[in-house]
Amino acid sequence: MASSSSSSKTGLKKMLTLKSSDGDEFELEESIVIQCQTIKHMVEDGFSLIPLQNVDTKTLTKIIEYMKKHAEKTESNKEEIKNFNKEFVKGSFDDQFELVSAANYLHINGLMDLLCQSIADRINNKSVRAVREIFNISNDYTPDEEEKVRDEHKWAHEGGEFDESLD
Amino acid sequence: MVGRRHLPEDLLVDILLRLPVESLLRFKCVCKHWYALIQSPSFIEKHFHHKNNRAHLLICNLTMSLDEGRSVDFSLLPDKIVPGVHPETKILHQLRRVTDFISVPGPVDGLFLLEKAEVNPEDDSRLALGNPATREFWPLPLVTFEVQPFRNHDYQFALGFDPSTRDYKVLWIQIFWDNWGLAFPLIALSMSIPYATTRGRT
Repeated sequence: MASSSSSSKTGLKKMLTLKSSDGDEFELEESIVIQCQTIKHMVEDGFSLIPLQNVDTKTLTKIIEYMKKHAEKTESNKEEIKNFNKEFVKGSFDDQFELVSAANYLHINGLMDLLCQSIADRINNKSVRAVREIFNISNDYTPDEEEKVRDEHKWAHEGGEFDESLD
Repeated sequence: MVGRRHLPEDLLVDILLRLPVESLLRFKCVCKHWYALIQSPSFIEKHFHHKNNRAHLLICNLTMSLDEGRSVDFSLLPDKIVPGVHPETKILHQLRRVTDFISVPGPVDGLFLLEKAEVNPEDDSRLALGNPATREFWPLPLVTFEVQPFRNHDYQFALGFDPSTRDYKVLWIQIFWDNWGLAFPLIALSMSIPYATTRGRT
């Protein structure tokens, strides 16, 4: 809050530099970057070069794309933002996991919400085996144990065909 | 697949909270960790109160069919009901061979209480607690309670949650009538059911 009022007083757009874990630097207007709570707090503490050790260039580029678009949000372009969001979540699960981890680290709540919902929607109809692959989980059940767990709610496994694909 | 990062626990929870009960029950098979997570009371509570898991309209119906005898259907009404269009219902859960039931108090945290109208000597329960979302159904042990001087009584069952003990309570409220027609209301019985049951919103 303090930072946005000071920039409006001077009338100049205050710029910030974000540095990815690969060492690439991105210069952005402060008004765009403060959607991100983690950076907002650093700005309030007087930082203008912000190193992001947990975010690589590829992920940061996507996140900046998101923040730029969402900084343009008004009453009249809701549909445009909606379409942007739809396209934004189309990447592979690997990319989505990278993005959601970065969004979590940076505390961008809107992006967290968007990504968690899209991952949930995409795995909802997946088979148990596909979910293990997607989340890189090894099955630690013995066949007998797994059968027992399956029998606890047999009906939940009988709802038709489940999606075995990994994308 | 090699080198794929593991999601931090809080993110995994945030994703799983958005899934319907049916998928969560299926994903208990993924691994022991997911099983423990999905089964945990704290996860169940968060799931129940999550903004995306809002309530649907549920209807309960006693039906008769020649093959199956009578059964109780729990059905969900669709999200939007348009005037003039007959709402198609999705049957969520069918309790087969239920001969009769009187009332379905609830829901309390997605749980309903079902009461049998006629209790025969060979019946081992009169009340049952049901969770239509997980399709679980727990008959409650038979308890009798009579007050000798009074012949006739009215009664009603109710279901509630006691946050101090974190138990569900079944209340049996009886009204006794004496020979002069005077009524004596009594809360006659309070039965506790432990909280640790899988619940889901319907």
